[in-house]
Amino acid sequence: MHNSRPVIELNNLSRWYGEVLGVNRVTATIYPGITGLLGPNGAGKTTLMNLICGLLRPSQGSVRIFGEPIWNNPKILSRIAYCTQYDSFYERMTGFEFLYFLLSVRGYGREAAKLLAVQALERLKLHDVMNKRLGGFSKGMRQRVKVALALAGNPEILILDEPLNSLDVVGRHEMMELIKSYGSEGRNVLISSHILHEIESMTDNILMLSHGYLLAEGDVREVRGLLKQHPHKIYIRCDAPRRFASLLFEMNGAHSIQIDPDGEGLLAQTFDLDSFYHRLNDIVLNNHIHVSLVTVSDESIRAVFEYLTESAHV
Amino acid sequence: MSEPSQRWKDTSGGKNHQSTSLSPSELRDFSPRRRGFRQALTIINLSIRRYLFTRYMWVLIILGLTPCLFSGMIAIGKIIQEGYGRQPQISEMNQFLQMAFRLFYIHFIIFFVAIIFGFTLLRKEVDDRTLHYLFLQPVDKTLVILSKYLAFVIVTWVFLCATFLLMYTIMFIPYGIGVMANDLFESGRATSLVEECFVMLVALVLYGAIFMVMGTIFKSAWFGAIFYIWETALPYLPSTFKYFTVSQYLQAMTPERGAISPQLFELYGEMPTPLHCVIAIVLILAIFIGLTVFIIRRYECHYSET
Repeated sequence: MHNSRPVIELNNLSRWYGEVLGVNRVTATIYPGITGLLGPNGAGKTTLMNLICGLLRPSQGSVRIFGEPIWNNPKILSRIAYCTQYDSFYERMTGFEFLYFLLSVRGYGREAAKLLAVQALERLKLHDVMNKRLGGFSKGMRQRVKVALALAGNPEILILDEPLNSLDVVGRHEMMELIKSYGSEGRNVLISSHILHEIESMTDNILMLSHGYLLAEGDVREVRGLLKQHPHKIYIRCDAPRRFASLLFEMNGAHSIQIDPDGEGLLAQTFDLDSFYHRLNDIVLNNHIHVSLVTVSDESIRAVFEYLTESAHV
Repeated sequence: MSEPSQRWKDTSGGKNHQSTSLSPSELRDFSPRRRGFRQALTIINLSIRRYLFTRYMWVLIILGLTPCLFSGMIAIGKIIQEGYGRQPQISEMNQFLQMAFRLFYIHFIIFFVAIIFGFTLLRKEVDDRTLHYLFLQPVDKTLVILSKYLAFVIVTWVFLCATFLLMYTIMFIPYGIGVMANDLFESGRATSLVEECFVMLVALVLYGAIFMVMGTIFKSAWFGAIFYIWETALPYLPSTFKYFTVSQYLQAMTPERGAISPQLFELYGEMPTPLHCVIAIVLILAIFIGLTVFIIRRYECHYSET
């Protein structure tokens, strides 16, 4: 039972795109702190976030933020910020200009907008490139610019749609620490992911969504137990996959490993993602192997969702 | 402190050190009217900056400079004629200038500029997937669309006025500065140029509002082309229908210097009075701006449907 006032209330919320279901009859209450929105790709996470931020209008039901409806309500929009998944920018602008202009639209004065833009870019370690055009930014940098924009106005509710996408291992760790520290400042964060491990490292409080339905809400540890039966699959792209695989086996770091047919990557399976990441870092640092991509497949979490969905139908 | 921050600090005149002690909520200006005005100015500024780097700007440049090219050819023709001992009359130039304004600018250039910019006012933001940046800010959606509309009117009007004045200069400069100064200030040309620039502004405002509405409803600009057929058919429409075209009012507002072909005026038929023009402009604007407000307040930011 929560003593604090709800931050976000979703009441019988549904959204259809013609015949296609986005989210269906979602009723949930989000309380202060960090909340994870977990679900496989296509579960309706982005649709739900778009509804919460007022980009979409509910087909049925309602969204209330701090007790007020969000649709066409600029007063509430001044209290929230949303980092979307869309990788789109005003490409000709510099990182600084991008933040400065949008903070000005948000209602900040010239000096305040400058100050907040620089502070946010520094916080996301983009101060060295803030005078470069966004069109020349890497995917990871673009992702950080979006998070910087969301953080810049110091909103009471920060909504992040898969903010760890496109980030490297170090970047993911830094971003997770940043989100945790923002939450610990007494702010409210709603973060989506299809990877349980990511959410788990930031919060215990989750909403689980699948096929547009809210399957469960509550403590992440209950889900964690179910995952023991399903190994995580991690795809790694590197310049020496065979050596990487043998080092992983030597360190007992994976349950099974398959080398990619193109010889430039490997697919590892593990039950313990935390230890796997530690070993991965050790291998990269001590053996000078260049890793260009690390992605966790959502198959394990998908299996849990299937299990929960089946349980719900029984 | 890193170098870019240092550079920014320098430009702020040391005010940042004072501001850092304030919380972001204190940094915000909470006077709603002032904030709304500044937000509108920022969106106008942002939209103008974006227009300058789009391909639509090239269309504007090409369309705007086409009459200048024609006037350049006429100026060359005048110089050649002088070589053969024939002095072209200034009235011929007057006639060309008026025809160019009525047919090139009102009937063609402004119309197509308004189609392109009006239709893409919102559509470009959707195609570029950047609309959410504006819709997620604490700004009324009406203010967003009207600021973008204003930005379109400013950019296109300034540019088209500049090309129109350039066209006049190219045509009359071969007569010499003295003749041109006389034409401008003693024959009343300066006043009619100002009036013509005002008519261009009215045309951009009216057509822009119409195509802004069309752009929020339809994806294809072909609907604008259908409207063009209606507007172009003006001279052949029965007299009652003429009052349902924008160009009828624009033609009526255009200053007449007695140089236009009488046959052309016969086609336009009886022109509305200035009072009729004012009423019609206010009505058209009220209808289409009202429709825009109605549509935009129900508008969702949903890219995958586009």
